[in-house]
Order: sequence, then C-alpha cells, then structure tokens
Amino acid sequence: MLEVHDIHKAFGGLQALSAVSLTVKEGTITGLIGPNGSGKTTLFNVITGFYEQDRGTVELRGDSIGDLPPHSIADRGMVRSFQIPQVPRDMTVMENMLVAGQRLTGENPLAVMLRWPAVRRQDKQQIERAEQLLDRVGLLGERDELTGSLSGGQVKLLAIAQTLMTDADLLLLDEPTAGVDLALTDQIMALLKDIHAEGKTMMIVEHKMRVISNVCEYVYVLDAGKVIASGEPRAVQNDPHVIEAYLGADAAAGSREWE
Amino acid sequence: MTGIFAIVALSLNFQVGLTGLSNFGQAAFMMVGAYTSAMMYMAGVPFVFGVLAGMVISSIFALIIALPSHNLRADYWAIVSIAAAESLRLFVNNEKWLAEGPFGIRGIPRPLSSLFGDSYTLFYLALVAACLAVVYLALERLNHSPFGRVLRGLREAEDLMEALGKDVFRFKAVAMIIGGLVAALGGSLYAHYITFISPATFAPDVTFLIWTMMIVGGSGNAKGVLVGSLMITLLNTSTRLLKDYLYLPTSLVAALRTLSIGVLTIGFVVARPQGILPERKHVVSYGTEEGGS
Repeated sequence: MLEVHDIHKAFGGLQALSAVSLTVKEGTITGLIGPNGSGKTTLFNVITGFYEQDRGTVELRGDSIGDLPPHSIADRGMVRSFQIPQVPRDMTVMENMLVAGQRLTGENPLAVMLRWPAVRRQDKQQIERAEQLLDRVGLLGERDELTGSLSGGQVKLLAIAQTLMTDADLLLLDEPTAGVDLALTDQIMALLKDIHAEGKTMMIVEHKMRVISNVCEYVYVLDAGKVIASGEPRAVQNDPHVIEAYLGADAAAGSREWE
Repeated sequence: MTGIFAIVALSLNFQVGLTGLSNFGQAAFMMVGAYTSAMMYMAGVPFVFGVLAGMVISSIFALIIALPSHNLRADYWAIVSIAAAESLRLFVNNEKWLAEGPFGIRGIPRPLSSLFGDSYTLFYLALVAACLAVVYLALERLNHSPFGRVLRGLREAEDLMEALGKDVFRFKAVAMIIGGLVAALGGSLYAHYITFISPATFAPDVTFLIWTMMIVGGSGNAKGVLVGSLMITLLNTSTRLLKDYLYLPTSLVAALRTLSIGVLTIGFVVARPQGILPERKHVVSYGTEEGGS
C-alpha cells in the first residue's frame, strides 16, 4: 500500500535519513522503532509531505506522492498524527472532530452564504459521526470542553479520533502512547487493534516494546537514519544490533529484558 | 462614523481574531474602496457598481498580499502587509494623473442626496447600519460554518490543519479576500460620507486605530469588536468636544487623544488581552451552534 524507496534527507551537514526503504502492506500494523534522534519523525514528515526528500520516492497505492503537499496526501487517504499533538486550544473537542471532516460543502464560503441549509444538514451528519467516534475513545463526556483543558492522555485519544474522522484508510501515528500511563496505554492498544480489525492499515512510531510486540505484525528499526533491522517483533527484539542501538554495546551482551 | 469603523474592524477581526493573520495594512483596503467608488461615481457610474468595483479591486490586492504568506512566518508576513499598504498609499501620494496625488479628491458627491435633502444624515445612518448588519450576520455565519472552523483551527495549529487535508494557503487567501472586500465597503461608505479623501486619510495610524478597536473590544468576538468600535469612536469624538469646555489648546488635546488611545491599547494588552468581551466557546449542537459560558 505504501512503498518508501531509497529516501535521503539531510539538514545542513546532518544526514537525518540515508537510503531508507520500507513497505507497509495493506491491512497490517507496521511498527517503526529506534532510539531518540534516529530519524523516525523525520521519515514521517517526508512520507506525509511536510519535508521534501533529497532523494528517493514515496508511493501510495502505486501513485508517486513524493512531491505532493501534505493536504493533497491527506486527501488521498493517508493521514498522520503528531508526536506532540497539535491542539487548537480555543476550540472544543467537538469542533476539533468536525474540522477533521473531509470534502465538506461548508468549507466553501460561497456555499455557506448561498446553500446554508445543505451546509447545516451535512454538519448535522458530521456531528452524529463525531459523537460516535468520541464515544468510542471515551471522550463523549468532554464533548464541549475546550481542548486546552484536556489532560495529556485525553489529547492523545482525541488525536486518534481525529484521524478516524477523516475516513483515511492508512493512518500514520507518531507515538500514540507517549507520556501516557499504563492503564491508558492498554486502552489505546485495544483501540488500535479494534481499528485494525475494521480494515484500517497503520504505521506507528513507538518506544514501548510492549505496545510494539502486542499490536505490530512487522517492525522496522531505525538507527542514525538507517534501517538496521526489520522483521516480526519477536525476532527484531532479540537482534543484537537492535539491542546495541537502544542500550549500548555492553548491555547487548547481558540483559535481554527491556521495555 | 462608528458604523463605518465597525465594519472595517469586523473585517480585521475576521483576519486577525479568527484566522490569526496579522494584517497591518487594513487602511489600504479602505483606501482602495474609497478611491474606486469615489472616482467611478464622479465619472457617472451608479453608486452601487462603484462600491462593488472597489470591493473587487480590493480583493485582488488582498490576494496579492496573501501570496507571500505561503512561505513566510506570521510575524514576517505582518511586515509585508504594512509595507504593501504603505507602498500603495505612497504611490497614490506621488502620482497626479490618476487621483490628484496628495491633494486628494474633493467634493465627492453623496448618492441620492437630492432625494433626501435635509434628512440626508439620517438616510446615510440607515444605509451604514444596514451594511453593518449584513456584514455582521455574514461574517458570523462564516465564523460558525465549517469554513470558519478551519480558519480558527489554523490560527493555532496550522500543521494539524494541513495534516487533516486542508489547503492552508487557500484558506488564508480566502480569509484575506473576504476581509479586503468588507474593508473596501467601509472605505467607500467613508468616502461618500466625509466627501473628501486623500492619501493622508489612510495613513497607518488608521490601521492602528482599527486594531485598537478590535483589541479593546475582544479579538475573536464580533460583538466585542462592535463595542470596541463604539468606545474608541466615542473617545475620539468626545475629546474633540471636551476641548471647548476645558479651554485647552487644540494641539494639546489632539496629542492627549492619541496618547489616551495608546495607553488604552497597552493597558488592555497587559491587563485584559481578551478584551471587554472575550471570544466565546463554540458549543456545537444539532442544527445550530451557539455561544456558551
């Protein structure tokens, strides 16, 4: 579904990504792990059009999307979340959901002036759908709260609900459980599996091995801008290169239990 | 006068208060509207068409100013907006063939003046009030529509809007055009009321006066902006009357007036940045959207 081929990206003298290639197969949850600064978020930014790659191609369902701006990529059914969620603080949870709706008549100011009843009708459908999704992530009670007043965990849930609201079929989630406690991590994991069961394809950046081994079918490991390993979570977890990248050479020889 | 400034302040609020586009060139859009409709009316074009032409030209100017917002950060773009506005004003100031340069246009006729005679001021008041009402209702509807939601979203989370498939540049450009249209309408109404305009009429201090109205009233809240426009215009006129009672020299009163508006702006920015009426929460319910607590 998503083919990333030979991506290079440098910032000044820093080679953030070199020759990164990976594939996300339709209907899978693919993980992307690696130590801080290994280039995971940079790769997400290249794939979703926020950064322009220096070299390489990105294909979505066979179409090259490497040169498209982010909004056109989202329009083609691939939507991302942010590691540090971007939240318009002065908008309510419901408004944040509605703004994720796609191809709305009411986004055209002329239609707002001339075809108000149609705009309202569509808005009503969107509200109903948003309520279902909020109920699903457990935020229906916060429907009319300002997003600025939500907790960190609730913001993460809202970000996931937002990507669902877009109707995209490929979701790129950047650390959906970062800074979230154990109970909520479990809840988010269950949610991700649930979404997956409905046929959504996902790629997630994660640090928590527990999440990776629980939800991902396939994992790519990034270190210093290169893919150093890939495979099933269990196999990757025991790869000495991966342990070394995460914990240093000494630990690679010793402990194999790490989170 | 209050009504005319309220119209322009509402247009500024649409760009700044909702969308977060720091436009410091609003006086130029007024100027475009004022000059176009004044000159066209004097050339025999019906009033309404002159006003519409001013709005069209203003929206083209708005689009041109919006172009660099594509790759400039908000604060740098604010500099572009004031520079572009001043360039246009200085152009009018230094030409003679088009609009008499610094001498401006005098004796702009008032539309339908023969029909209303003595009660003309009353008619014009009604005209301005009607325009203000239409502008207020139209901008409020846009604010509460999906279109307005995206504008408010990109005020604080531009990347998120882009990631959710919104063409951020397009939305910004359209917001600028709508604001430009409305400001031009305000400018036209001004020209035919005062009957004299010159480049000095639309100096940057007019832009700052309109900003003050928006900040004092409550940026993001259209009702607040109306209150702010009323307050500032009253302050401006009342100080003019006050000098007759206080026996102060005119120049001193003028300076004090400017000073008091400056102090008021600083005071509000520091002590109550949300203005008299803060932006309200948009509680969305079935069918309608209304402000909550």
